[in-house]
This record gives sequence, C-alpha cells and structure tokens, in this order.
Amino acid sequence: MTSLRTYLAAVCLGIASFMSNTVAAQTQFEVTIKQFDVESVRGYVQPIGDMFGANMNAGLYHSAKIPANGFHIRVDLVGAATIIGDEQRAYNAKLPAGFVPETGSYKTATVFGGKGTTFRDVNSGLEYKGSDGIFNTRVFPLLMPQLSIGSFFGTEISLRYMSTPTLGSGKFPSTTLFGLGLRHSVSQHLNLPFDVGVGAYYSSFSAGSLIESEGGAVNVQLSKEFSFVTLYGGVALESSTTKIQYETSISNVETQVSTSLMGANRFRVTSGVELDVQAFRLFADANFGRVKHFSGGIAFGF
Amino acid sequence: MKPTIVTAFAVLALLSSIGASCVNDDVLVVLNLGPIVGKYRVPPGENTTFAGSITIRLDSLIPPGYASTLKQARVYDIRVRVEGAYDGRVSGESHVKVGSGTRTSLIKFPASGSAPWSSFSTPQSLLGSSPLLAPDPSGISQLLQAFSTTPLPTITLFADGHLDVAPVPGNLYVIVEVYLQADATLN
Repeated sequence: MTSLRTYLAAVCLGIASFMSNTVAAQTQFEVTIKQFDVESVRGYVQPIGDMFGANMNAGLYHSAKIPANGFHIRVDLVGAATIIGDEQRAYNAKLPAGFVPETGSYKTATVFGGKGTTFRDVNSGLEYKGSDGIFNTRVFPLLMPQLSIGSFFGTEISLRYMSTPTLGSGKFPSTTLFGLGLRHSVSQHLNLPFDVGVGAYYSSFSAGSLIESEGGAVNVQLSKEFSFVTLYGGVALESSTTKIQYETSISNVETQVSTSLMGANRFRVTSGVELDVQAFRLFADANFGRVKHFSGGIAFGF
Repeated sequence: MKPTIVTAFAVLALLSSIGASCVNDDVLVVLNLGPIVGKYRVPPGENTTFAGSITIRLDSLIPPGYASTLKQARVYDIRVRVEGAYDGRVSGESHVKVGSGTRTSLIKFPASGSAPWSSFSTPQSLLGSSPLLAPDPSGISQLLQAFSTTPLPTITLFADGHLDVAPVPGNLYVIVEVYLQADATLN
C-alpha cells in the first residue's frame, strides 16, 4: 500500500508540475498566435511543432529487456527536454508586397525568439514589424506518466495519458496527452549477449481547440545490464504533425486559420543509462536527430 | 520509502522547473489591423466632382482584450486605386479626422495637377514610391496618435476630388486603403 501511495503521489506531482509549466504558457501563446494569418503563423510556431514532436516520442524505453512471460507492471514518470537552437529562434517572415529590397521576407523572432525585427522600406521609410518571441528558454520540457504492462510472450504494452482541465475561468485551455505503444523482445528468440527489442508507438497531444499534435515512432532497442547499471540505446524512425486551428478577427472579419506543421525529427539515435536503486530506477538518455533532446525520469515497478 | 518520495519530488521539481517562468518581459504582439478602406462613389452625370467619407470605430479594428494595452501604431502602406472605366483624368485628396477633431490631409493623388484615371486602375502604393501619391505626415501622425487615445476614438476617412471631362459614366469608384500595424503588450 505504501508503494501504491508513492506511485499516486508521484503521478499527481507530475500532473501538477505539467500544469504549472504549460497552462500559463498556453495563454501567452494562444493570444499571440491568433494575431497571425495563415502565412505567418507557420514560421512563428514551427519550433513548437518540432519540440512537441520530439518530446512526444521521448522516453519510450529505458531497457530492451522484456521477460518472456510473467505479469509485471511499471509506472514511469518521464521528463523530456528538447534543446532549442538558434535556428529555432528566428524565421523568414513574409513581407507585404512592395517592400524594398524585395527579398519577400525578413528574419524575425519565432515564439522562442527575442525582440521582433523591424523592417524598413528603403524607398519610403515605411516600417513593418514582427511580434516578439514569448518564451525565453533554452529547453522545451514535457512531463509524461507512462504505464507499462507485460509480459505476453515477451510483449509489453505501454500507455501514456494525462489531462489537465480548463483553468482560470476559461482562460486556459484543457490539455490532453495520450500515448499507446507495443514492444516485443527479439532477444528471447536469439542467443545474444544483450537484449534487443522492437517497438511501435503512437502519441497525441491537444491544447484546447488550438493545437493538436500526433506522432508515431518505430524503433529498435538495445540494452545491456551490468549489475545495477543498464546501458541502453537504439534507433528510431518517427514523424509528427502539429495542427493549429483558430479563428482570428481583423476589422471585424472572422477568418478561420488552419495549418499543419511537420515535426523536424524523422530519425533519432538514443543513448542512455538506467540505474537500479532497488525501490525504483532512474534513467536518462540523450537523443540525436534534427532536434536534439534529453529525457529522463523515474520508474517504479513490480 | 521516504527517500523514494524525496527523490521523486526532487526529480520532478527539477524537470518541471526546466523552462518554467521563462516568458520574455514586455512581450509586444504586433497586430495587423488594416486596411481601413474608404470606397467613394463618383456620381455619374455632368457633375465632375466627388466627395465622401467613411467612419469607423477604432476599437473595431483591435482584437478583443488589446485595446487597453496598445503601445504604438504604424502605417505601413497607403494605396489608392480606382474601379470603373473612364478616359479622362482625376485628382483628389484624402483627409483624416480623429473623433470630433479637425480634418487633416492624409494623402494627395497626384501631388499636383491631375493624372489619367487609368493610371490608378493598378493600385498606387506608398511602398512602391508611386509618383502619383503625396502623403502628408501630419495626417499620418494624427491617425497614429488616435491609438494612444483613451477610449479609442472614431476615425473618419474623407476623400474628395474631381474629374476633368463630363459626362461621368456610372460605376466609378475611388478607393483609399490605409494599412496599419499596432503594437500591444500581452495581457
């Protein structure tokens, strides 16, 4: 019972910390992007799509070892942090027709950038400005509780779910994270000095009616146990799409904006370490692809 | 089990603090407001003059919640164009009035004399440094100052002018478009 209480406390803490991170930011984000038309919003928020895509496929495993049979259940609290590079802080925004020099675009802040750039027309001196970035951070975090249940002939199913309600008298949209995965031990069929598994995963995330992200990944997982230390790694093919939909009102004209952002990550290499400290396991890994990020967390199981 | 709970809290607190409380200070959201469009009919017949006005509430251009957080505004283009076929020439001027203030010249088309009506069939733009447009900084300044007035006032955009040859055919229009951006802080 003590263990169960511990699990519940940890899950609640994870949810609470996720809410504290995301809700305030959502509001800032939401009110700002509604000022963009469909042509501009993609560049401004594309890094969000990249970050969500990378984070949703993070922390899917921290060992390739799956028992051939026997019931087990494990709760992971996964934290993912994607590194935000300079290339994700600025984008080429479209200029209205007529600005000179006629590059058609100017570089200004994304949602992760600093001050918006002011572009001056060399002939008329007229100016056009981009919005400031909202978030001043080097990493984009996401927390996810994950439940894994097995094993049926070396196969394990995993489930991620978290939901936060609408808060602040309707100011803050509700958020929902869902993930489903299946992985199978390949090494049970082979005589190998290390563990090998393959997995397939689906994830989705929504924030109100504004953002909906979906992602999928297939991976090959490898791990090797050394006493209380497990080294793990793997490769994955993945994709993600973030859909953004909102209504904007300019000059009392309601316009529906709808656009899809493809996540930058298509392939990743994961390298990590897991420590077995009896009551729980700690794990951390680095992920390399178009988007670099780290994930880690704590796992409880029996 | 106590160390387990402490560790869980420590790990989660660390993870949740990454990236939190990292919203930029004084974030400016640029609102693309425009254009304010004044479409003025040129009456057909022997009379070769035209005049008209449109009045808008400035707050109707501002997205909900931003009216009280406006910092500044800018005009990034004024365009003048015409609709309808006419073989003669045209000259005109647009004025702006904020609230119940005075009328101030915003732009002349052309700067002096007259220009072929057909030359405005293609929109003439300040951004294109059109020789057919002569903006008046005082009118632009008055328009922009309206954005720092509380409560936001009405804006009246006038246009008047004349054509050179009668009779004037039907379905002629002079259109003045003012393109604006305003900077607002996040609520």
